[in-house]
Amino acid sequence: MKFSFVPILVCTYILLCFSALTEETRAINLFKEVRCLVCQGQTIHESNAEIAEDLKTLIREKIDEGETDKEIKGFLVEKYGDWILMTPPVKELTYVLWFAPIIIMAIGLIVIFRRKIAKA
Amino acid sequence: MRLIKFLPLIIIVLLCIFFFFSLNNDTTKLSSPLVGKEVPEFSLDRLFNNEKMTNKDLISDKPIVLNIWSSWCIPCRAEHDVLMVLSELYDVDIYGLNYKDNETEAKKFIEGLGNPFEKIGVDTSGRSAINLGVYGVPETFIIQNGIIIYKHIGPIHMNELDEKILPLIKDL
Amino acid sequence: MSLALHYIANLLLILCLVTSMIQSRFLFNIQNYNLFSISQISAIQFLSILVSFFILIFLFITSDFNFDLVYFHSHSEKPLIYKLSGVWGNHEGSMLLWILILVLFNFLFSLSKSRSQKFKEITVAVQSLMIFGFVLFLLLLSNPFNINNENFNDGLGLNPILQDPLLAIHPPILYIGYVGFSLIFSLSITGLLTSEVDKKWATIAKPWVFAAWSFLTAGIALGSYWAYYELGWGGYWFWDPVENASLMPWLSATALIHCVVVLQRRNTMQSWTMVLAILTFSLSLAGTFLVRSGVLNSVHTFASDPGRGLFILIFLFIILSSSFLLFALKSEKINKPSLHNISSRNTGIMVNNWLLISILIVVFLGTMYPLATDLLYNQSLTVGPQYYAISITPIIILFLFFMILSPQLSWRESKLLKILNEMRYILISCLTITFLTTLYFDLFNFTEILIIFLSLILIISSLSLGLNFKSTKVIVKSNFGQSIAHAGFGIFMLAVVSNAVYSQEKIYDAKVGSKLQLDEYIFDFKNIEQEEKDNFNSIRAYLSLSKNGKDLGEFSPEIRFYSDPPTITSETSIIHQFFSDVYVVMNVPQNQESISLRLHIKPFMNILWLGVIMIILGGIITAILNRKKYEENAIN
Repeated sequence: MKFSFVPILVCTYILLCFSALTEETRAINLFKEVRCLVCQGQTIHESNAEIAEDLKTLIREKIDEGETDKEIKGFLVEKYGDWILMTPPVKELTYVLWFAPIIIMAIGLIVIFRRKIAKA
Repeated sequence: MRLIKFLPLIIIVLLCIFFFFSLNNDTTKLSSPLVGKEVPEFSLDRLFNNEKMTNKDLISDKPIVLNIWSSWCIPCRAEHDVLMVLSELYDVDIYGLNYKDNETEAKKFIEGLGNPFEKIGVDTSGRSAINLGVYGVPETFIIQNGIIIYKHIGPIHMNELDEKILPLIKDL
Repeated sequence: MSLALHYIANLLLILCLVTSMIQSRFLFNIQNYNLFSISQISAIQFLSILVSFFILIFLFITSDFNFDLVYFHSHSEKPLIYKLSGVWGNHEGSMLLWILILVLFNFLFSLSKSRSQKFKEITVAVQSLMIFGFVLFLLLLSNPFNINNENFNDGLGLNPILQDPLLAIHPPILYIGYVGFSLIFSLSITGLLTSEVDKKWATIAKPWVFAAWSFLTAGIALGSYWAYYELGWGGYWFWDPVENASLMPWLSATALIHCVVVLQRRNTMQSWTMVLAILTFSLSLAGTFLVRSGVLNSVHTFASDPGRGLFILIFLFIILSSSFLLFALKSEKINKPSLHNISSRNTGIMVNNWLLISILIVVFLGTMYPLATDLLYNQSLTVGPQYYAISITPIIILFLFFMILSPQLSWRESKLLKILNEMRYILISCLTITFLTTLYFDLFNFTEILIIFLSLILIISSLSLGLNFKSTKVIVKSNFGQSIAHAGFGIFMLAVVSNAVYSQEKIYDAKVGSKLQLDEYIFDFKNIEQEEKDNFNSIRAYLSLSKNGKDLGEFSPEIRFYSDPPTITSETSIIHQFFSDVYVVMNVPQNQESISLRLHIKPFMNILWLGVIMIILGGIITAILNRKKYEENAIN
């Protein structure tokens, strides 16, 4: 019985590729990445404020029109700025945000191990 | 290596300076990326008229004020008086964008409070408003030659009209 | 009556101010005052604040609206417990609570045994200097006992979102945590001034630091649990600025408790311990106060006032810059050369210390970056949960690895191969469990599998380190606290990852009578009712939950419309099961025809809280087990 998921998985996969289901998941994934403009810290997925509903309709329509996620996000950023995306894009302005922690971590670890080796 | 002991001190001093400046910085004001760009294309039915209002109406050497409003929005009522003053006393064309409203309510609103607008476009779906990067009602744009010069979020109060909007329009 | 209380309370605050000044004389080498002993003056400090705190409680209970604070934050019809929590549900009152805990710690420390009279004198003096600053701030800029001349009939009420039993106890516990670190801070300053940062210092600091850390952890956990069931956004942590502000001192405190242990055992890492002690207290201060200054905006904040913010900032600046300057000048003197091998427990703890600091940097950048870009480039950014997830995951994986490894290493030197050999049974069994679960739940994300695997090893290896299984009986070892806390962290991580992977949610626009489905659960939407209560009106939906035909219970999510002040809140309705929480949230109705309901399945939430409770218990156990040693060591 445990392996009955295999044919089901295959079927869903095929279905996924052609049906509206992908569009729905795509839509929800996008909703979770777009900030609700008038609420505090919520995504439009979580909010049912007027503007959030409008944006959801807009995103659904754009998906129907065949736009990619990138294009849709690009459109929103063009209108509202990076602020509307829950996750800041990687660009010059955000290099420090994205890369500073990992660089600082690496430097620290190198210092710890090198000092220890020198003393050992 | 001797300097490294001063590192925490330096970081703290820098952070305090940073906090000092952000203390006085109003984070609630958002700049719109559309400032400096052309007004996006739109074509809307007019409220008291069967013709259309389009983005081409907003192209003029004179500064144009575009106000997004709605009859159900309470701050818009307060702001309406300010718009009336602006249209009566100053040589400025004001255009309206009626956001997600009921036609009869919207007409009642204008008939009751007066009409400061040259033309009013009706945006039932709210789509043109999103194209303009609107958060909610009311919002106001100042446009010249079809380029957005300034955006104001929320109702314009009388003192804001005097201190911000009018000097800006006079400069243009 | 009101006027008399106003004067008495203010006089008590001034009394505390004066006594604090007397106490801090040791810092300036003034010795010629000997009328009372240190602990007697500390008792006066403590009692004066305690009594004024009781006066404030009395004012709230009797609803004396002649006082501004009561007028703005209470209401005569409020239930007693919320009148009480109203005392600290606002800026001024919570400041007084903060000061109360500060003097309490000062008092307790003045009673305890210490390495020398001088050491105690200076520590109490540093602590009193801080008390002086805070009481001055209270008197000048946020006096809770301000009187108005109007005769108000009733108050303006307490924010209904704060009307919650958990939120009533959350601030005191969190504050005990934050303020506990003030004592560690004072101890560090004393250590730096007297150049006495050594094993003895660590032995004295250890119970305090573990106690403060446990309270801080508990405070954060309570806040998180509150957000989980009250906000109903489907999560327990939102990376909101206020939450982050409490997480940052926790991260640095967690690093600190490990350093204190190293210092106690090996007499090394003095400078780093001092940096962490000062940093933790700085972050605690920033956590409580910058949040209120209007620098950070969030759903949790009290009304903010920039003028107050400036005072706090200047005060913070004076404390921090002077202590770090002291550190820079003195660190050479306290540092002892350390000799230990690369594969020793020291290295492991140092690595994890650094990893904690790296996480701290992630949280700090995530919280502050939007402010910085806004200030410097006039560009707004949103830093959402995804940023933290992406940035912290690689660090956490390394962190788990060293958390497993370090306790296996000895303090001097260990052979890695030997450890691998000793752990082979644990490794193999965990690998098998992970493999089977992966297959069973068809989980194919490598990162998630890796974290689950590491967490499992951590749980088992930590428990086996703290307990000794002899054929018939189980022996609890002295490092039991550590073992419980580490295993708790493993359980916590396991729950976090599984929860993230298996959470499900769906939003329905539902009508009464419809059956909604999510996963295998059926939600039967039975009824909707409007109710009128004392201080609010509500819309309540009734749903029953069943799975495979088995009835599991009833939901009654609610939307409340409060009148004073006008606020709408949404009350989540949760059914707790052993492996998963199922819950329903109602959105504010926008039209008459249907109600928007959000259904959530949150697996492993109970296990997540279990992990957190174990972490807290571990801290408390360590603090208590160390008291004995403390007494012995403090004298010699």
